[in-house]
Amino acid sequence: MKITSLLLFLMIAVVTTSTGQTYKLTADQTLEGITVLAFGPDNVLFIGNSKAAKIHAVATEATALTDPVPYNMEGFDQVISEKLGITPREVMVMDMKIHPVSQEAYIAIRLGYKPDAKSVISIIHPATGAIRFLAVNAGNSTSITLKNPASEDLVFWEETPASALTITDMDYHDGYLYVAGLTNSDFASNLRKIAYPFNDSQEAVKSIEIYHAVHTQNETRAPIRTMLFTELNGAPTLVASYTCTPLVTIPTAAIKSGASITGKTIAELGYGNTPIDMLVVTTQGFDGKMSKSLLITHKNRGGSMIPLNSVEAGVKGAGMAGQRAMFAAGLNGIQQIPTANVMQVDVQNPQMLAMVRRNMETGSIDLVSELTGTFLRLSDFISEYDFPNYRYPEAQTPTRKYHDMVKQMEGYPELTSDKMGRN
Amino acid sequence: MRTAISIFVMLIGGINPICSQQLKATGSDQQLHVVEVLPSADTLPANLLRMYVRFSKPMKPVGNLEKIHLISEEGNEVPGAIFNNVHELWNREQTRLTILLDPSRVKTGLLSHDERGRALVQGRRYELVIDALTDVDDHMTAPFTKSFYVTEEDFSSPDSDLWHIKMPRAGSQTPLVIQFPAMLDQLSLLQRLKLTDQENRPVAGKVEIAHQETAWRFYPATDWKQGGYILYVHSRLEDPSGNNLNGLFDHKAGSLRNDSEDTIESMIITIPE
Repeated sequence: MKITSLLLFLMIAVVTTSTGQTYKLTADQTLEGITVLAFGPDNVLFIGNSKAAKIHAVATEATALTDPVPYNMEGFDQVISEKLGITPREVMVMDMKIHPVSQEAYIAIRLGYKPDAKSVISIIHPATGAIRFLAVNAGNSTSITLKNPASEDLVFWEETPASALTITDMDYHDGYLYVAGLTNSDFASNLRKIAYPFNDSQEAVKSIEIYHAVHTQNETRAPIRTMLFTELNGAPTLVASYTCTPLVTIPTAAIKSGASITGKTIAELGYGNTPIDMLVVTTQGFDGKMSKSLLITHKNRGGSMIPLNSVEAGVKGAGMAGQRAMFAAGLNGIQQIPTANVMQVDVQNPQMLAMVRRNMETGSIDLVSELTGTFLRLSDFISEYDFPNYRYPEAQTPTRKYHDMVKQMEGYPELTSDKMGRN
Repeated sequence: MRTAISIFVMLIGGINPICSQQLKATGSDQQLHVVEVLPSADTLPANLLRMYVRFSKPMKPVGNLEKIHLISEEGNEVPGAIFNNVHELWNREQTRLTILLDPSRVKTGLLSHDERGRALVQGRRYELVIDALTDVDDHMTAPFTKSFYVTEEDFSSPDSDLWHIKMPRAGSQTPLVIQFPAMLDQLSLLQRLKLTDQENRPVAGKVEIAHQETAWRFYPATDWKQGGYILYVHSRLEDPSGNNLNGLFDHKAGSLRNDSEDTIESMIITIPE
């Protein structure tokens, strides 16, 4: 971790307090049922509207922010609910993505529990804490309705057609938006490839099979829960994690209209679990070398971090055929990292991850940043370093510098060793 | 004996389907309660994948899966049986929740299946226990229990060649009845079968799923005419174990009937005089 260079850039976020006045949402700022967000080319934001079976593409305007400014917004649900005149319990976070230019957090929120509850996208600036709401139906937005490819001429969806599909993830890659979904009555894979800019061209993959065991050659269909595109061994590849946590790779070139695809299961990340987010993160090792890893957060387990070169070795290998293990298996170097209460995560800047977390003690929803690679916030823990009479010995100077830097980052500049007289 | 559910479906092509569900439930629909749990049979296969819970009022769409438990005949909770999805799968009205039994244990060949086995074991009894759940107005349901016995796994695909069709007479409004040799998924039956006239115009009428999801009855809004109707069957029509017309949920490589997941069979139904 480049502590000193980060320290130079570090700015402390100032969170604005509520004015006490309720913000009135306009019709332009609400949609029926947002489940997923993704940024695409030219900072366009794709919005997966599951209730309307639509994808919206909204151009975003943003001022570039290059400094690594952390989020320290504890009680994000309280702040939003006060602004909108609802209760914190009615703030349901559906997805969060960081704007690639401004580092602003775009957080999709469902307002309340009723069947006709609306969704909004709140935009939070890391430096000022200011909150605004995206105009999702603005003049510069386009949208496309998801088609049910085989029954264009037949209305098969006799009952509540739109709610049948929940969009579970979206990713843009090389001219196409890839949309994964889960339906409440079919358990088949559901991956669509949609040209962007939208031109009514939608391709559906016939099926994705996850190849499991050579001896039985059994295959199963399963819906993708989270996915991303990355280059592996020089080839663009879709890395997907499924609802019962196998990790599967599919060469992007294989995803064509009408294709039946067999993905290669390269790892299993543990039973009884569903993955939430998948990212590629760059971290610096103790040897000072930068390396890339795949980071997957889970709903029921700690996160998985896997070196990307290990993933590449897995793609070259035979896959999971015939392997047996109780927990995470299939690739070298799968590490469990502490992300147990993380609801949403995205890369904020080269040094930090932004995350929406559930505070286990207060139950509140917090929007915070962590240094990539450490995967913890120092202020979550009380250790011997925090006792008033603790003094850092000379040998712990790097630790002291790290602690001082992180304390400032996490919003506790008054607790640095200088201020506490601990040098 | 479960009450049948009548689903009134005005089949008007191209227009948003008009659909109302008339529940001949035993209790009053004014009271919040669990109306039923599907499949409605009390004998279910070991590789059961999907169940539904239907409520009389719109429910809060979060935090429910943690409150639904599979209990063994010894009275112990079977851990990790119910798949805890990130988004709970509700219908638009928030009155029907889809429950998936952890697919990684249902499928063969997966780590979890090999190490932990299926949650449901053939020859044993189980209870699905639904704790008090909250509706959108903060009222709570009474706890609900469905007991069932587990039989051998279902490794047979639904096959329309094996369906038995009971023809009505022209000039009557008695139902067209299709009987299936084994139960199918109720929601799938409502979505994946469609009756039209010979010009592909949807026939107006009412669909009823009966006899523990082994019968599909169609009551026409007007008298049957003599001659041909077309029944369309989508290949994704599933049974509660996820097997569809095209093959098994858990199939051998290359064993699917058709590479496409989306094919449509059509059956000519000739109404006699």
